[in-house]
Amino acid sequence: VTEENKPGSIVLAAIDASPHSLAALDSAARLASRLHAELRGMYVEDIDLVRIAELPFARAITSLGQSQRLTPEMMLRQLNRHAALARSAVQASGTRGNLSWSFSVVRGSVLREIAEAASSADLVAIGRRGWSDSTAKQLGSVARALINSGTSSVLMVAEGGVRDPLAVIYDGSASSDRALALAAVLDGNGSTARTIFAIGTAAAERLKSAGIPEQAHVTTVDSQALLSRIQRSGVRTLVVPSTSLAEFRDSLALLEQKNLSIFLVK
Amino acid sequence: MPELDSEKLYTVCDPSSLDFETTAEISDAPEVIGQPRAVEALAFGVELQGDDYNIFALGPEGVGRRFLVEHYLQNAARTRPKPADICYIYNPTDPNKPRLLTLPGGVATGLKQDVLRLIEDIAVAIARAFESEEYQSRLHDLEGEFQARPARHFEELRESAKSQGIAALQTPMGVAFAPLKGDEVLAVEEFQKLDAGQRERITAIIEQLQEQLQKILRQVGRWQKELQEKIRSLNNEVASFAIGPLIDEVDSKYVEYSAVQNYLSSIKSDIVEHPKEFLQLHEGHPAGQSMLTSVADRLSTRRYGINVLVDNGGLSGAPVIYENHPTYENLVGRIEHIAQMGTLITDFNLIRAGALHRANGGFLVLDARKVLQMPFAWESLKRALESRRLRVESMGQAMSLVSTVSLEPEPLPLSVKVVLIGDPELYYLLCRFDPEFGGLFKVSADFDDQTERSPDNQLKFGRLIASLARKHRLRVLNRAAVARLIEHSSRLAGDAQRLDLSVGDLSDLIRESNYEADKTKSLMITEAEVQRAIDGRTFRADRIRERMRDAILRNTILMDTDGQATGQVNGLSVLQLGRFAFGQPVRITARVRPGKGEIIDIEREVELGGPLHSKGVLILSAFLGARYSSDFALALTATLVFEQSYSGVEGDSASSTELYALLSAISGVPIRQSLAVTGSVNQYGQVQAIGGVNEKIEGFFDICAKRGLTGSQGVLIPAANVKHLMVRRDVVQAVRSGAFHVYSVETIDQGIEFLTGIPHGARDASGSYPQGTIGALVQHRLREMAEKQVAFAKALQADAERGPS
Repeated sequence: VTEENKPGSIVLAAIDASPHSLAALDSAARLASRLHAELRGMYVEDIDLVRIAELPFARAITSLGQSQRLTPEMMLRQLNRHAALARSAVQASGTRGNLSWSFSVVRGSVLREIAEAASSADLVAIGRRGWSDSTAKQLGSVARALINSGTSSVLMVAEGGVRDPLAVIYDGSASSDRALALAAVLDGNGSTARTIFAIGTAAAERLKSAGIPEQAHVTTVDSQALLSRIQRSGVRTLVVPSTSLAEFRDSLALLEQKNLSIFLVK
Repeated sequence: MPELDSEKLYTVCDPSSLDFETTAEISDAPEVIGQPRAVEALAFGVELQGDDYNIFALGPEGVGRRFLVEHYLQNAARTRPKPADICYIYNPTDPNKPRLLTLPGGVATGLKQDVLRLIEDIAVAIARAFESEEYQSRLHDLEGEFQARPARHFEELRESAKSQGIAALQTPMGVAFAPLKGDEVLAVEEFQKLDAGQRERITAIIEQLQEQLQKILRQVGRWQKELQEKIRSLNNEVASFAIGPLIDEVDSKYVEYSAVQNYLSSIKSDIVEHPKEFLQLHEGHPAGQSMLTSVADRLSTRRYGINVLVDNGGLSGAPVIYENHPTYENLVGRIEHIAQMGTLITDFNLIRAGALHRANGGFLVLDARKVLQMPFAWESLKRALESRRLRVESMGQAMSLVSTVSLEPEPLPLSVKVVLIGDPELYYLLCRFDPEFGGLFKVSADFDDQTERSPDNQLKFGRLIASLARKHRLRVLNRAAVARLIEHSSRLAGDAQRLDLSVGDLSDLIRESNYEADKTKSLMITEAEVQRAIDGRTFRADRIRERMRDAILRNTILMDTDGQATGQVNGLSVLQLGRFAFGQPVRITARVRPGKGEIIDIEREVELGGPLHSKGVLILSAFLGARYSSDFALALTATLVFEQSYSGVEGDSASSTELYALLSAISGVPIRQSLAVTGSVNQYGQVQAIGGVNEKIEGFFDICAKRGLTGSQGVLIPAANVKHLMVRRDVVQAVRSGAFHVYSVETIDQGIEFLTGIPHGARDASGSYPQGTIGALVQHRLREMAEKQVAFAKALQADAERGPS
């Protein structure tokens, strides 16, 4: 199973300079390199943050519970600093991977700007969450919005990056074929996914007839048992075809508890 | 003049007086004899309970001090209880101060093995418990509960804010609240357009939300702490459940030892408190070591294991320890270090026992000189004995020279009896200069270097010889050989009535005799082998003696052995070179002239004479004045010389010889040169005992024998020395055949009469001596010199009165 390279493919990395987003950039650059795609870096200056800082009573409560006065200058300084960090990270990744790369800074609604940029990209890589409270482990609002929009493949990278062990969910759809192929691309150590969870015997049969990758370990599961199997296997990166998303969308809330990188393949 | 017959010159040991034919018949025998005083002192010191009743065994080298001490102590130790094993263990409350663990003798090593197994078992049990589904599930629940709590509160706050038209946004600086317009934050221009009431309301809501957020954040820390407490409590519960039965099993084995139970209890509580750390320790290994080499290297073993310093399991009574190399560390123990990543580290496992640890509850035998030679060893020994506590610390710590953090092991209560072995000089020096010595070493076991040569002691000596031969796996000795060794022992003692107790020397001679028997393939050691061994010893040592004897025989050193000469006497000296002593004849001459009444000892004038020699010479002038010039001034100047003596002269044994030379020089009567003389003299003219009489006789005999014995040659010795005679057999033989003579002398009068052939004479009531006697000749000559001096003085005075011509 291979992923054919479409000429002029675009991998978009939406970066807010948080550790998650920098890890996402790293994976995006690797994918762009293997897919011979263009790497587009993007930083959105959140218009809401700019507006908050302009309000006369604007204060921020730090993670230590201290109240800090906010000013427009202070906010712009922080946003500029993050933008500069993001730019240099994209530049470094592009240069290192010998990629065609670009970087842009836009101001506006984060959701809207990324969604708009995503519409022209084949793959979007984002951090699982941005500069949110580190004690929370839920998916960030942008990630959540991209999953729901379903316009392109989305790679949501947890802190620490895409890590082994890696697993792919296979439901027999064309989308899951692509997921299998992209998993091989994503897996830095080999051309095959480590574990393939085939949902139902039909999918397992199809997988068998299509030719199972040599080093892959195929486990046939029903969708009810899928979540607990994934949890027990200690998977750190999960490649999910968008067709399967509906099957355990309810269960995603549980998956969100884990420090798991998720690659949703359209 | 009493001439001594040959029997007096050598007291033979009759082999038939010994109750055996060969030493093979003697089954078990002591190796030391004739030390009743030392044995009594040892018994006293050992039996008297008291920490300060330590013993100093003083005596000359080679008399069997160490053997007797150890032999006695081992017998005493057998009836005493086996002391405790000494161990050090980890101190959870202060790892730098390891705890002392003492256990009944022989228990420690078994416990150590049990604990090693226990640690391995605990590691498996804990790992299993913490990997279990049950534990993981409970932990997951706890963590989930904690994570959900703040998230729930934040979400509630967010919802509350949203319901009031306020957004909670994460900014790079923290969470900020702002009024919403639709899904977006209200721009400042639009906010300004609101009426004052709305603005105030929004501001108030936001302030309230901020306070609520701060309250939540403050609680997060507490929740985190609560979570940690709950996890710790869960870990403790799981660990306790997992290891409890394992520890109880070992505990039940040592139920009678409360110290072990306390130790196991401390292990349990420490591991239960820190089960994860235990696993990390168990799987880790000391930094710098690339791989685990043994179970003992595990960090868990290093922390919870037992360092057995002293295992007394093999003892059947109290220990008797001899420390051959009593350095500071070998006495009090040491703390070793391991180099890791360029740093020296240590822990309680690296505490090592010293001799005092091993001897605790028993006896420690040390060589006093060695202890005193080793830096700080003596001080540390005294400190331990005084404080009755044994503290293991580095020399730097003990001297307060270093202040780096190191171990301070709990001190060991010390109960040991120390026996120091040393020579008497050392003992007296310590008594004199070390104020603490007397208080700590209250018992002196004084070893004698000689014992009486009684028939009983001769028998014991024979048994001792048998014992030594067996100890060194030598041939048996027949009784003639034993008798010869007894005689030689008397010779070494320099006394026919005593035996030398130098067991070491005796042992050497037996081995050398065995060597001679080897050469002749003799089945047993006989008198001939012993004699060859003695002769061999003499030959190996007598190069200088032979050289000096040659010098006399070749007339390089002038020495007459016949004829007569005035003012010239053959004296006898003894030279000691290492362990070999030999007699050396020396010519002593005297010259007299009128003078101020002084006797000039030329040896002293050139600082070749020692103080004892000078004392002897000064006695002479007292003797002369009192004896011969009681009614006129002693107006002579006499000079005395040891001719051709180029090294120092010490001792007063030549004082009688010098007096004979002086009397001859004053009287002008010649002295027989075929005789040699020894003996000191007192102010009354009595001849007194001297040392080395045997060597002196042999020294003159050897010269005469080489030149050819004439039958008139002989030696005059003090009568008090007759009992010391054990001269060589060739001398005895010559005396027996009349070729050589030994005379005993009691007074100077006797001696001068024999040397000159003229009686000395006795003073009459007027103080004069009979005509023609030595006394009269001496007195006459002295008077003549005194009168000449008076006449000379008068002439000088008359000249002075006449004035210058």
